[in-house]
Amino acid sequence: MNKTAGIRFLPLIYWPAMLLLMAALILTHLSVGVTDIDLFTAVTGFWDKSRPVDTLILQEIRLPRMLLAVTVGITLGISGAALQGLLRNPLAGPGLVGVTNCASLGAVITLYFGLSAGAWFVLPLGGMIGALLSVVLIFFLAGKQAGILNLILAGVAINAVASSFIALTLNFADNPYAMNEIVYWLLGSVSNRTINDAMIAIPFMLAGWLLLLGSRHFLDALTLGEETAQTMGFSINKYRNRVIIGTALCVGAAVSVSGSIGFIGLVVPHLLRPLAQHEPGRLLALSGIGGGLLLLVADITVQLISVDQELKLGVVTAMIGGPFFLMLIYRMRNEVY
Amino acid sequence: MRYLLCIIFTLAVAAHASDSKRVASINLCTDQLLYLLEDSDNIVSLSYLSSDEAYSPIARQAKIFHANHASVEEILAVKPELVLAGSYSSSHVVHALRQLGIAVKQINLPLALQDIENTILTVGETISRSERARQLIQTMQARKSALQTRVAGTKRPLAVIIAPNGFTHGKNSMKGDILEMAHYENLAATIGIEGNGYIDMETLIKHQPEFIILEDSSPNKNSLSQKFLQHPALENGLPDTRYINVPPNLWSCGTPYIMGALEKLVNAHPREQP
Repeated sequence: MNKTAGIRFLPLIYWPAMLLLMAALILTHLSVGVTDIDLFTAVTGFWDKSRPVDTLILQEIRLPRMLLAVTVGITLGISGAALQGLLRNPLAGPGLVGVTNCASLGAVITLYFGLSAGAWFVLPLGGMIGALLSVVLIFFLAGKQAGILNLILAGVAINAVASSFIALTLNFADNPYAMNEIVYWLLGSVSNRTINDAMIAIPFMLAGWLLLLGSRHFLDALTLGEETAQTMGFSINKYRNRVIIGTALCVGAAVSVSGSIGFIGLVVPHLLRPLAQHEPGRLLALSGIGGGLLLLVADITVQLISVDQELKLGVVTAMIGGPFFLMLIYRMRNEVY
Repeated sequence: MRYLLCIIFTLAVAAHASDSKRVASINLCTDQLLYLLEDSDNIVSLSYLSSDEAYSPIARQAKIFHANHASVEEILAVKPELVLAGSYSSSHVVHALRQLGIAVKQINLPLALQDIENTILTVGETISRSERARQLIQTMQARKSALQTRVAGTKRPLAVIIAPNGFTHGKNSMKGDILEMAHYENLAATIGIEGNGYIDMETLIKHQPEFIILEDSSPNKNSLSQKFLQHPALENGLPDTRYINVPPNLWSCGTPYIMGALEKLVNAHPREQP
């Protein structure tokens, strides 16, 4: 009795704590940069007609970067939790099963062949189509009740194909800079992004989050098995499509402006699962906030460790996520045997 | 009249006979020097980049020459006696040509302004055109001092050259030197960039340069690197900055054509008294 009461009130503690942490990290992120600016002057300068330099830097450079770090992080966190719930597999994550690389491929094709110059929505659309294809593909390749082995193998194959097609596309692009930018698409970065990039991607990310959050009861029911979920009144096909489309929308849009940033979608849901009492539905929003926090930390880190030649975000997230992944495999081995 | 024509013809044939040689070049920059110093009849091939308007100041004139892609086969086909190459030209190609009995001269291309004259002299010596090389240097110097007097004694406005990805030219770089020669203060040098380096958007906005020279020679603009030059912060964050257009092909090489770039910069100079 006492224990259940404790668990019931747990959200009242961790939600405010996480949001507070988010606010602190956002402020830290905004105050980190190549130049020294005074955040207070910068903010008060918004109402000043003669825009001080600090305000310009905050508004034109740091704000878009912060917005993208938060929203891309939330996207990767939510979609990781949703994929793990849908495939009922703790190793699913947008990076590992190839969704982010396929989204990268879609964005690369539209950007380097000049299609994205045609209309503002073409670049995120390319990312979303790439993401959609890969989620559908992974679902049919790995099967409904995805075994760990099938899922990982399908993921390895999709990732390999997608990254080689990225290289192929960049190779054929008639642009002297294209080939160097493969690093950006495979490792991800939010540096030098503009407010326009944020504006074209965020609406699609929001739509994707809403679709995924709307499936939270279905994901809870799915833990009891497809048949049980069906008897509880959930149309499996309808909700599965909703999760697939939601993932494609938000991951596709996020990757098209940030490249593919690995491991967040895998690690964050794992770390937070105990807090959500292993309920996939509750985990969604929690992972979203967690993903945002982690990406903020990662982006602050890349800006602090190397100023001249900025490190790509995927390097830092992989350095955090890689060892974690190994630990996960080690634990799962113990469980199996 | 007929007599005169006859003399000219004889002289021309004589000159041709004594002077005839077959020189090729496989580097965009040695192309330009060869073109300036040697008779067209003696040039058997130039690199294909020389006929590309985006990179070459002699694109129109270069179209009449055979264009090579620095491959051994193409060079052999035009039977040169001498091949001019850059110091960074593929060593495989240079080696292969030498083994096939063709003389190859690798020219140390200038990385800073003061090396240009030496390079011109070296090329002149290599193709036995030392006299023309000296004349070329004199013309270049005369043009330089004429341009410099126009801006002498004026205030140095803060300026910066930016290429895709924020690539820029600082202290002791060719383009940085030209910027200072045109009597600007080079922001990249001020913030301590030696040679070539990168400048980020925040530093640009922080220093509010008076002039920006955008540099993008590629006609295809579909890349993230080039998006740096279209960043809205350049427009919104630098409301008072003006842009100077210097065609990239004028100063892509350390040749006398860079005086064209100097002229563009001097023309755009506000010439305010200090």
